[in-house]
Formats: sequence, C-alpha cells, structure tokens
Amino acid sequence: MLAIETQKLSRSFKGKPAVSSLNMHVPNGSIYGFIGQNGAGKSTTQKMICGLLHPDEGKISLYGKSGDDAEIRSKIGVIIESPALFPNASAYENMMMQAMNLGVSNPDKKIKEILKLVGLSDTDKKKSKLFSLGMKQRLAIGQTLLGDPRLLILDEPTNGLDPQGIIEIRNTLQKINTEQGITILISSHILGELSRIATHYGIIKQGEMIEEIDKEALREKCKEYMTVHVSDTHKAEGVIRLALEGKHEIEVTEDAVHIHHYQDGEKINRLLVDNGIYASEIKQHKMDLEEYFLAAMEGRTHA
Amino acid sequence: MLNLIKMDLRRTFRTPLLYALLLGLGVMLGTFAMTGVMGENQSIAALIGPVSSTGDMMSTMGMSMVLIFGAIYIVSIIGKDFSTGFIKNILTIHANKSTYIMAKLVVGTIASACMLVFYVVLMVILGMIQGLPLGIPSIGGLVLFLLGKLLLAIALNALLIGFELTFRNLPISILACFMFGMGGATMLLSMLGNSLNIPILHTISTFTIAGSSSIGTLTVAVGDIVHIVICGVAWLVFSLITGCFIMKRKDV
Repeated sequence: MLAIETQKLSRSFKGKPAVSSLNMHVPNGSIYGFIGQNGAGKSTTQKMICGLLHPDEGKISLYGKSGDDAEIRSKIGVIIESPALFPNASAYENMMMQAMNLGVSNPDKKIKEILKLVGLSDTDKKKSKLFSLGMKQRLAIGQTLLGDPRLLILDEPTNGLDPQGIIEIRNTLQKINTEQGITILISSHILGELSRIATHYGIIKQGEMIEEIDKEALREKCKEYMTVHVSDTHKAEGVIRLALEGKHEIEVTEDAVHIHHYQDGEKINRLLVDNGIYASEIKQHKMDLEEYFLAAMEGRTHA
Repeated sequence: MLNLIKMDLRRTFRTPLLYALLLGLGVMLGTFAMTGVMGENQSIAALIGPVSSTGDMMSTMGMSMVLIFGAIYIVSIIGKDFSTGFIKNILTIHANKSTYIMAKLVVGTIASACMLVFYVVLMVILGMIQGLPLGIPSIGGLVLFLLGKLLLAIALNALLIGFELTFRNLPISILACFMFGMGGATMLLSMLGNSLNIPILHTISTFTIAGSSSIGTLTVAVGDIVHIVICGVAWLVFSLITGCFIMKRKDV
C-alpha cells in the first residue's frame, strides 16, 4: 500500500505553474526523500498533501483513501516552511496546545517523554521566542510526534541545527520509522544526511517529478564510472565502444566520454593514444546522492 | 471540534488577552459611568442599558463596546493562529475546515458571555457606589435584554470571523469590529435615508447588527425581541455560510 499517492497533481500561482502533473508514490513505512532546488515545488506539493492548498488538478490519496479523509488526516504530523510555535508559550505549553488539538488523552506524560527525546526537557518556563532556531526546530519535531502519527511530512526539519542536532534528529526519525513503522516524507537540502536515512527518493524540478527511485536502485546507478575528457568525443566514443564490445554502458557529453562500471584507466589511455586521440584527463568516480541529484537536474541520468 | 474548543478555552483562560480586554473595557466604561457620559444615570438599570426607550446613542454605547471587545478577542486569536503558523497544524489534522469556524464561534461566545457578565456586575457595583436605585423594570426583561445582546454578539463574532479569514489582517479586522459594532454602516444608511428622504433606508438600518442592538431595552417589548432574534439568527447564518465558503476555498 502507498502511504501517499498523487496523480497528475498541479497547482499554479497567478498563471505560473508551481507544480505540474506530479505523480508521487510514497510507500508505506518508507522514509521518502523529496529533493529539489529552491522553488522547485516541494513545499507546494507538501501543502497540497496536507490539505493546506487546493490543487488545480489531480488527485491525492493517503493510504488508499481520499486526501480529505478525516481519520487519516488526524494521524499526520507536519512541519511546513517553519516551526509553528506560540512565541510567548513555553515548550511544554506549545506541546500541550498541539496535544489538545489532536485530542491526546492524559498528555502530560507523553509530552514529557517527547520533550526528553528532542532534548528540551530542561527549558522549564522559557518562552519559545527566546529559543534558538535549532531548539524551535526540535520542538516542532516534538509536536509532530504527539498523537501517534502514521505519517510525518517534514519540510527541511534539520534547518538551523548544529551537527549534533542533525545527528540526533536523524537517529530519532530512523528510530520511529524502524520501531513504529511511521512513514516519513522529508524534504531537505542536506543530501548527505538524507542519503543516510532515506529509503526512497523523489526528485522534482520546476514543478515536475523527474525521477522516483529507491535506495537499492540508486546504489546500483551510483556505482563506479570513468570519465575520459577528450577533444574529439565522437571518435573516442566509437573507439571505446568497439574495444569494450558493448559490455559497459557508455554515455557522451560535450567534452567527455563516461564509461560505467569500468576501472582500467591504463587500457583506455593506451587505446586512445593508439588511435591518435588526445585525452586531457581520465578520472575515476563514485557518485553520491549529491552528484546524482546534480546529474538529474542537468538531465544526465548516469553521469 | 471538541478538541479545538478545549484548546482555545485553555488559551482563553490561561493567557492574558481576555483579561486585558476585560480590564480595558472596565476602565473605559467605568470612567464613562462615573462621569455620567453614558446617558442619564438615574438608576443602575440605566447604566446597563436603555430602560424603556431606545434613547440616544450614548445609552447603548456601553453594550456596543461589550460586543466590540468580544469580536476583538476572537479576531485576535484567529490572527494568532495564522501569524504563528499553527493554523497549518490545525487544518492538517482537521480536514473539515468548517470545524475551525464553529469552534472559534463557540469560544467567542463564551468570551463574549464573560464580558457581558463582567459588564453587568461592573455597572451594578458602580451604580451602588453612586448610590443609584436598582430601577430594573423586570428580571425577565433584563434576562431577555442580555440574551438578545448575547445573540447579537454571536452574530457579530461570526461576521468578523469571516472578515478576518478573508483579509487576514488584524488591524483591519479590529477596525472592522468598531465599524460593524458601533454601527458605521447603520449610521450611514440612516443618514442617507434622512438626507435623501428615503425612509426605507432608515428602516433597513435597523436590521443591521448594530441597528438591532440599539433597539433592545430592559422593558419587555415582544416586537423588539422578535426583531432582535430574527436579525441575530439571520446574520449568524449568513456569516457562518460565508465564512465556511471562504475557509474551504482560501489557501493557507
């Protein structure tokens, strides 16, 4: 079952499309990393899923039911754009407001547990307007954990956190996902961190979903490849293809030939020299999520 | 909806806003009562509202301020929901957006009722300080008068809820509270009716919230009571329908 499914979701603002025919598939129990540049449509998509924006077109399903299903919606924890906190209220009071919003019975114990989990149990009566950004972010995450949610929708939840805070939040999200099976849709710019916890990814560009991929497939695609910078890429491609006999995938860009899952640089160099092709650089790569994302943005699926 | 009501009631009685408004109301009206600005202070009843006739505007001003301050309270807490972003948490969890409006209306009613009770108690105390006689024509009349005011307060709250949800600008909404509560539109209609010699405009003006509020007296007059109930319910229904329509269509 899919926790979230969108079909041809579209939304424009003043005639300018923000999200365009977006199809998203978030598996139940996954941590889905939603990646895109600033202004790509991530927050708009998340707001539509939460019912805060009306789509112009398309359909949203949550756990197989309509996006407006009251029971399902009551089990969503959300942080969109910024922490939603009452500035003159303490951490405990902010949590209590959310607990009452959710209808949590006997919330006192649960609130104290979660405040301890997010490292805010010693803030006492300090008003949240005096919190650092990181503390506010942690409090907002704490709010999402009230009410035993099934689904968390988090828009850059580690913004403003120090490295220790990022690790703590990462561990918390991983723990609740593993132990409680909570599905998490998370957008983040810190791709390195995302790659440590996400099980699935969706890459959005200019309002369109350009790729959805799971962790295993991504790992497969990000294996070693070799980049050969040459002046005559056309000739080099022909020579290399002939030599490798179709055993390795080859991709050509403006100034380089990329050979996937291939490591013998010496052989390639000799091959090019024998054919009168000058190679300015031969480099071995192993792509990470950041490089994969950049490649996807440029329309290059493999390099 | 019950969860939202409980949440807002906690805010109502644990945060200073309601108490600040009560204090402001008390100081303002107390000053007017002690200095005799609020109509003819011949009795404690006269401090609460017009005894037997509509009287002049000042005699109804006290109650108008109660209605206005009640409306200010409700637009303030809605404004706070939006300015803090907490509205995102609320509307994600509560898929039916009409629930939000209904809950705010219930809490606004309770706040307005608190202000009404405070106002009556304050006027009784001030009247006693001034040595005024009670002068209440009948207890039934007083109860009906207060219930009528509460109904109009609810209608005004509903109207201003729709206003705040549409414009999401607290200063403008507070201005609107005074405009609608003091009867800006009512006065305009009435003035136009007089100057253009169109009596029907004056009649129409009595069907606004402020216009209806100015009709009520402490003396039981069945026609006036029916007028107030019809206007109150009509404006309440209209405002709720409009507010729910706006809420469902406007983005957060």
